Amino acid sequence: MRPILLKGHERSLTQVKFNREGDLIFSCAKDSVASVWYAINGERLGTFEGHQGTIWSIDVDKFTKYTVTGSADFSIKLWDIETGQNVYTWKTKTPVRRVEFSPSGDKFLAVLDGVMGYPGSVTVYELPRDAQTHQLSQEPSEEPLFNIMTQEGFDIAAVAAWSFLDQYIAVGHKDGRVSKYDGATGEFIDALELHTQSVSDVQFSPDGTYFITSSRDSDAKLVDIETLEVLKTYETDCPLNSACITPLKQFVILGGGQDAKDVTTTSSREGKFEARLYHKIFQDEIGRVKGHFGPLNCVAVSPQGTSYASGGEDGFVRLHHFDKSYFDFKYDVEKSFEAQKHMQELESNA
Amino acid sequence: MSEVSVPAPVVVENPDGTKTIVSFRMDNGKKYRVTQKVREIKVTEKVNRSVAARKHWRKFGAEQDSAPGPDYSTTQLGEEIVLRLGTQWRKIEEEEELKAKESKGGEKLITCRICGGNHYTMHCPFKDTMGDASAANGGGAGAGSDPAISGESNADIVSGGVDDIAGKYVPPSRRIGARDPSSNNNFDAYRDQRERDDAKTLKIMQLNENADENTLRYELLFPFGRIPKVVVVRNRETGRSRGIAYVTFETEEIAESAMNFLNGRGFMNLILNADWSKPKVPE
Repeated sequence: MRPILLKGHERSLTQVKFNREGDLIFSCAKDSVASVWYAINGERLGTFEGHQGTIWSIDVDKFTKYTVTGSADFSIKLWDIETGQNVYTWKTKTPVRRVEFSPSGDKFLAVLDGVMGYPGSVTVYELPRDAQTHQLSQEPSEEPLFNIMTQEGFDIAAVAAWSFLDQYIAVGHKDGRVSKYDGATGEFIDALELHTQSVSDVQFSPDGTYFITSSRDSDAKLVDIETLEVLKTYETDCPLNSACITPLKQFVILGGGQDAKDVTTTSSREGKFEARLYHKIFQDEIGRVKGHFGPLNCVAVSPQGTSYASGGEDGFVRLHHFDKSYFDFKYDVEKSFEAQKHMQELESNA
Repeated sequence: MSEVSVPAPVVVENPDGTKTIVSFRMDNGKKYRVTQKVREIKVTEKVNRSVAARKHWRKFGAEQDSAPGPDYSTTQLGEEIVLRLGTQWRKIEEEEELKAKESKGGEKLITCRICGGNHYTMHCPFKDTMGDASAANGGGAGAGSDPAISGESNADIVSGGVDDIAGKYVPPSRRIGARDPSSNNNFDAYRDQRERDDAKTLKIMQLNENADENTLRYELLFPFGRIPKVVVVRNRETGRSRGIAYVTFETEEIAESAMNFLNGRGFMNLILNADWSKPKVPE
């Protein structure tokens, strides 16, 4: 496995994302310019220029028509991916920590920071689209569809994500709590005290029925969205910044590392700047991928499950196309089960 | 004019599905015939239509004026990473690390002259006990691979009144077999040695390039008894034989008969040319 290094950013990466077909990678960093890359060879298609501050988050819709960026310059920008033009800009009251399109692509959520007297919110905006071309049919509304203000007694939201069919919004809070809201109205449904420290990432499974959270308390957890039941727990030895669930294989990839402020006092080996692969079901650590020389801020896996990208505090995106050993790996119990099944089939045929 | 004289390429379809293309080209006034054997393999790759469309998008932003293809300034290949999945990955990795460390130690970058261990002589734990004993023994472990020689040398040197320390540098003039350069013997030790070798050594020229030492030994020189030394001269870079070999025989007589036998004889399609490796000096 030879990683491709994408060196388009001058500062630490904040998020990387694959589009639905997995042929484009979107990356944003603290240097206020977002980039889009071809996944196959790491060629940069272009940059989205216009923000004046750190871009905290980026997302691409399922049609690969538009990308949305949320920035610390109090704005959200919508970009046409083919031309790189800024289509629309929403002004916000506070820095934007996270943006994500709903699975339908008709709306997107933005996590607004709770600073300067603003309590913090998860705000949902609407995108009026043409049904055929998926282009914007009219100028989007400056006003949000609804606001999910931070609840009494909860800490502000850090991350948020959509479940299947725009049904729910899962929100990870700074106090380690995870809460669930109705995706259409923003009504509060349920909450769960999951982690002991801030939730750093929430990413849904490919089918959108469960999600993985990563936290600074060095745990990652798999949670069912319908029942908010904790399905699996992955324990590591360093603070985690990101986690994703791989399609195709039953793995999860976790990324993290020491706090950036402690990095200079330790060697890179102690820093644990490695992506960790855990088996999703058995919860064992099954491998690590070295390479970054700073903590991993974000990991993303392609929807096809054939490659993954990680963005680090070191300013690099490392794009890995998995090789055969990754796809061939199976537990002994899996192998024996398959053999058993095969024998049964042979018997039933005979 | 040269353009005119080049015939059009000829394509012949072979029965096994391959094509033979014979083309001609002019280069520096010379005409070359190029014969290529080609097999065409059609690989069908299914690509999502929107993905294919996106491949032809124009670059924008900072990449607006960039040429197609990855730019080295932004896209680089990293070092190969071995991803070995398994529950035992940590154990395997540790073992490998240990092994790497051991093999490094096994190379013996440092050898103790007293006990032969993997440490500096001055740090040897047996420095006090073994150090003197080995010196008294004559040579000790580090002095040489051949105990007989080291013993002899020790005797020699001791008789010469030199204080011996095992493994100490011995100047050539003091080594066994060395002669006193000031004596009337004319030859110094090395020249003499070489002369003696040259007397029994033949230079065989016009050898086939494919003939190596073993071929010569077993196919050409086997009638001449034991052959102490065969050296084929090779190009240092390519390793190809230059068609010259030096063969040392047991005695001068055998060498002479071999020279008479080999000179002008055919071997591997070439006629050999054998001579003394060095012209004989009339005594």
